[in-house]
Amino acid sequence: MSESPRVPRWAEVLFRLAAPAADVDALLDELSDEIARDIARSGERAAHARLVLEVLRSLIPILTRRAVLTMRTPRPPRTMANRFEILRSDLSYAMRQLRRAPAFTLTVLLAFALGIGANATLFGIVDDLLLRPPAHVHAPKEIVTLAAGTVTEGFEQRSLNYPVFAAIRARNRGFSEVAAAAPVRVPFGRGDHAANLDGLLVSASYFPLLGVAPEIGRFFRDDEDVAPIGAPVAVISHTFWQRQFSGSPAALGATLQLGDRRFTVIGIAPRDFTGLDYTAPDVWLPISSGGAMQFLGKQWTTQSIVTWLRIYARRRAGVPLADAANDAMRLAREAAPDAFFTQSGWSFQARPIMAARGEEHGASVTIAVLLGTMSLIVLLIACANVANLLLARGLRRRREIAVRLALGVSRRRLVEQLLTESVLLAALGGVVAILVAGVGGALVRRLLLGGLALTTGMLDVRTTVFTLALALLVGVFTGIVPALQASRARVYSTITGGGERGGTRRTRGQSALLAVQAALSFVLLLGAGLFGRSLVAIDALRMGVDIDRVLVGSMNLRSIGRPASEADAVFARALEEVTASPGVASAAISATVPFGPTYGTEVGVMGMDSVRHYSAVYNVVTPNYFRTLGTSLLAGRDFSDADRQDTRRVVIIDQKLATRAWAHENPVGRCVRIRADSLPCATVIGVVESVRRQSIFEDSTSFVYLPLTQARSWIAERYIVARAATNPRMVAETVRHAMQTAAPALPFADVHLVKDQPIVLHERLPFRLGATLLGVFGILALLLAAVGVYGVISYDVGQRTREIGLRMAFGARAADVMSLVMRDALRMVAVGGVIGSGVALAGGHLVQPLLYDTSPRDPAVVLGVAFMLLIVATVACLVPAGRAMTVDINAALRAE
Amino acid sequence: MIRPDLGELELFSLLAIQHLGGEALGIAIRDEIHRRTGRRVSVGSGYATLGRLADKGLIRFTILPPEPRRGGRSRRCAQLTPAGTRAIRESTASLRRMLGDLAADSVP
Repeated sequence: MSESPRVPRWAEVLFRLAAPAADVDALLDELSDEIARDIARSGERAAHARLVLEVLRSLIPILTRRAVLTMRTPRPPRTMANRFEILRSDLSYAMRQLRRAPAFTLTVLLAFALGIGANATLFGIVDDLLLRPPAHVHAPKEIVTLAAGTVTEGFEQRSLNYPVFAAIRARNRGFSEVAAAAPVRVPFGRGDHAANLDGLLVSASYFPLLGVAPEIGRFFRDDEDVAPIGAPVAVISHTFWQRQFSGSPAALGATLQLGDRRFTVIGIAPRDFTGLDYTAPDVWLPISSGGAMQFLGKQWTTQSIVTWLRIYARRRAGVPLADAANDAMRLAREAAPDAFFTQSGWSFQARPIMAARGEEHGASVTIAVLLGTMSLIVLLIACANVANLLLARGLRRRREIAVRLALGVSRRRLVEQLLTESVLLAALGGVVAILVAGVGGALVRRLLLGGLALTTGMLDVRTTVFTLALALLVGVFTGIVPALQASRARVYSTITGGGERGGTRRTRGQSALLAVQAALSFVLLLGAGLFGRSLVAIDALRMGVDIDRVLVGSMNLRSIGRPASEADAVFARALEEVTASPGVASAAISATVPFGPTYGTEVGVMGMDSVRHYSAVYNVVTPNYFRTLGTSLLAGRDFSDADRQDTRRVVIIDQKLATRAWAHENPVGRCVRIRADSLPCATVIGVVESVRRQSIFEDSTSFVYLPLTQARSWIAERYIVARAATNPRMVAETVRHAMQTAAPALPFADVHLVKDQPIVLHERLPFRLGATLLGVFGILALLLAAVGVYGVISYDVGQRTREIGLRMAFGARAADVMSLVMRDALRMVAVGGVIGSGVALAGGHLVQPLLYDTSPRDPAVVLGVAFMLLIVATVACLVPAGRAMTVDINAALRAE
Repeated sequence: MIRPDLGELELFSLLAIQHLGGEALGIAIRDEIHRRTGRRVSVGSGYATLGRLADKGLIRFTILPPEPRRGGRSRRCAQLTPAGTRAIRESTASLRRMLGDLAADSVP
């Protein structure tokens, strides 16, 4: 009898799916007999045609039989105990297997830990920022915040003012409770011991609105928050209580010197209570007691132009939010008819705080989506990687598996066992991932989210549950295909086919997985490259000020009740101290600073027969201001001590104004009139480079600079600017100390780099975030892909030792062997790279708005990434290729 | 009488096995039924029938030693049990009695 013909693959698959596991082999044998008989009788073609019918006719009886068996088989009593016993033995078997291959286990653990860890980190952050309700707040979903705006422009005006709040609180019909809050820096103590506290001015209704109870003591009463001057009472945070009073109950009734008043502590907020923000202030004060600390002065209750107060409200059941918001706007129009946000066309939007919270902290939805996509890609790469390793391992274990099958282990049990192994791996990976998430989360928060001191611990329950669930899913996901493939082992040929030593060449699946990994890595790396390039482009922007070197120091004099007239004397002393401090290259005084408040004016330029007017912003500065900022002087001279109140009036203008007013002529020596044409003429003595005012991306505005000696009264604010010669962060402390020493009776001096001004931070954040995270994820992906390539090639070389030995015996040179080994892998990586670049180019427009001055198809970045990927793949191949080149011919052949 | 728990195809299969010497491969049984009755039994229903017979204890499966050639496998073979033989005897006896003289006319 000739060898029985092979059953076609499709028929085999159908039978395997339909038949009870125990009978599959017998059925396949019989089908094979059937084919042989038909071939003998009527030829190959007819036989195969008949086979289709035969298989289809067979399916129903087979399925029926299977159903009968399934219903009738006295199932091995799978009681709980029984199941547990099986699980336990599977687990210990899996453990033994893993311990036997430590390199494999470690690699898989690493891949899982990184992939799952990236996702756990992200989940923790998104959970904190977007999903989790603020602690201790009763029914947070009912709380809304009012934002003014127009339908077309959006509702961005979140800060309002007191008259509007008072009107809404007193007369609204749509909310059950209304409260207001405004953050404020509160000077605490004096002189060298001075500090700034983070304060929150709140209406007496704030705590009742949130439904929170104090840890000890009480919150504010309505009669303590009465305009214009409320009671000097304070509620302190749990953290501040621990820090300042060591958690002693004696804190109640203690007094704190805040600004120019002494406040009595009446209550302590519960632990972890942060109000509606992400961080708790140190102290809460009634609005009426701290209102004057704002820059508004005595008119804070009535003035309606400046906006500074947030308004929160709790919904009244049954009232649609839109109606409540309209009602509030009606009241706001009555209370503040001259405010810009009550002009016609504007309306209020009552936005649930759960939605509003995330948007306001730079954790915009875009960034969350971007982060989510990236970490998902990393997870996919990790999965592809592990699946690949498991496949290779399954192939290596074919023999063992075949033996177990031959010994009567059912395929189902086998799949269960293999799955137990991958799930166990993923679970272990998940545990490591939780640690990764702890560290990673802390890092991301500190580096990228401006150090939001989120209240929840890093290893909270939700993140842990999420991580472990993800690990389980990933374990099954990565394990199922390799397990099925391994269990498909053909028992007989595997055991008897000694020639192949139970091994097989790499499968097509593995090659495909390699290409997928390469493609995904390519996409991530490209993203990192593009964001990196944007960041470089931003750093290269000429802003007219060295944001990395220039320190800005300020003191809130008014908050302690000192008249502004005193400021000049204090600041002059401070300037002396600062200039003399080590590490300070130069320093100056100015009335405002880049990215600080701005003051506008009119500049009149005398023409031939008329006066032309230009709007400009102005600043009042001392000599050395430009040198300190790093602003170049393009023509003329800087101010000097010789420019005094009694000398000729002088100004310096910036390039923008020079070009607008004089085009190509030299403005130095010309005469301009600032503010009013009636004022005496001032001579332009210099032209400086343009400086950014409010945004690092803006087109610069026209600037006029006046010497402090001639324009003292124009602006009351004062800043110290200093240029650090050494480490700016250390110099910042020196400057602060110098300022404090100059004025021992004064409150805390705030000193920070221009780079750390909120506007600059905020504008650079998306690029920094994008470049850093994509960079990290890209490198992770690259590492994982390298591990994948290494694993597969290494396995391949192991399998082909005999072939390689033979080739060498026939005269193949080392270089031939090397190219033999590397060709395949590099081809797969190249295919992946091409697919990845296709995806990236096609999807490039999606990231375009996130980039700055960089094309998503930037050829340098694309080529660079491709090159990098190829290099890494080559390096990953080198080790196994080296092993292949040193195959011992004799040993390889003798093993036959 | 024909045992009530025995279907037609089951009886045919038992008879085929007996014709084939008390022990047969699935394909041989189905070919035997085809040869004698013209009825084509699919691989699936042949398999299901034998399975049911085995459940009733009328046949049992035995494993033949592998064929002496490369790739030769052990084959599963159906063998009549004493109960199976008895079932054939009982079923055919009553059938024969019922047929009586009719048998000569109807079977050419």
